[in-house]
Amino acid sequence: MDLINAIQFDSWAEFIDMGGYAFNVWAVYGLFALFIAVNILVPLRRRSALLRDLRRRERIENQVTRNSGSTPGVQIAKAESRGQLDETGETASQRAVDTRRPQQGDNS
Amino acid sequence: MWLWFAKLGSPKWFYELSTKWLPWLVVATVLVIGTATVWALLFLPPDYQQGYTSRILVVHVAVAGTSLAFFPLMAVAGTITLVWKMKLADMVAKNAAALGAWFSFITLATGSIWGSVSWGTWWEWSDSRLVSMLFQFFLLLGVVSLRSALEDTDKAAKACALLSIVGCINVVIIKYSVEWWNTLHQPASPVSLQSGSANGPEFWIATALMILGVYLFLSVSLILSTRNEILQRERRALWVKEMIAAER
Repeated sequence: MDLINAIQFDSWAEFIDMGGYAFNVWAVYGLFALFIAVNILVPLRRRSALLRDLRRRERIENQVTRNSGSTPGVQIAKAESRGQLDETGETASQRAVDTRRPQQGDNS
Repeated sequence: MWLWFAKLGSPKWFYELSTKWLPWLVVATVLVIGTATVWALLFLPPDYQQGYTSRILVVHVAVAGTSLAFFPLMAVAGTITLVWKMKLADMVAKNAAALGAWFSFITLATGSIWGSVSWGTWWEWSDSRLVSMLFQFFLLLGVVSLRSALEDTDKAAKACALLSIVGCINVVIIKYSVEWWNTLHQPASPVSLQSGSANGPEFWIATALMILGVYLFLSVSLILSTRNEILQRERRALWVKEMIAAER
């Protein structure tokens, strides 16, 4: 109960009023909350966009593999890490992925 | 020692470690900032001169103090980039610049809102603290735009690293501006044990807690954006592809 007594205000109205400086105090705390929210939510949204893109790439690469019997996505990366790359930095099947993309009609 | 150092620079290692630690860091951030905010808004006694506007200072001092950490952080990361060419250091530095600009802006805005009551003015061009903080804001925006102006990732990393190291001079100027030039902005109040003033024990404990909370928030936000940077730059790496494939 000591904690309740330590509260500086007797009513909600008094709390909101902040001793006459309602605008200044609440503007600062509002800005602070907005600042935190933006700098957490923006990276989270970017993360879901990035993951969506990575999943799409993986799906298309797997699809290409099934259709043409070429290297699956993971093996493309293995080839890359072994240094088996052509001068454009992409393997032939990856270029196939890029040209096929418009026809794949990915709606998700 | 060198093995540990090399491991630390590996994006994969950082990504996996942060996956484990991030939830705990978020819990700690929410608890500390939550406690400091409730404390500041409900329990702090009014200052005998400032009234309840002194509550603004809990947020202002915490954000302002933390904003000074960005240039040193970027300078250390930049040095590591220049000397050891560690990819992870540059990813951290890149995201720190934008977050630092936010911190500087919030420092200026909250300071202005406080000053409009206590000083009777929102802005004072002749005050060295205010102007040097504004300069830090522009410098950080400069680092961000330098990065986006240079297409070559390596060149951009080097240029930003150099600017970050030079930018540290301004941090020293901000820090000591209130002592070197005596203008509007007051120096940091010495910690006092007297209740009921804006440097009394209730205040500095609440402020210390808020500083800790703001640092925790900084690390959460920076880790989140660095993880994004890793996914973006390492999207062709085997471990990223395996991670995506393993999700299903």
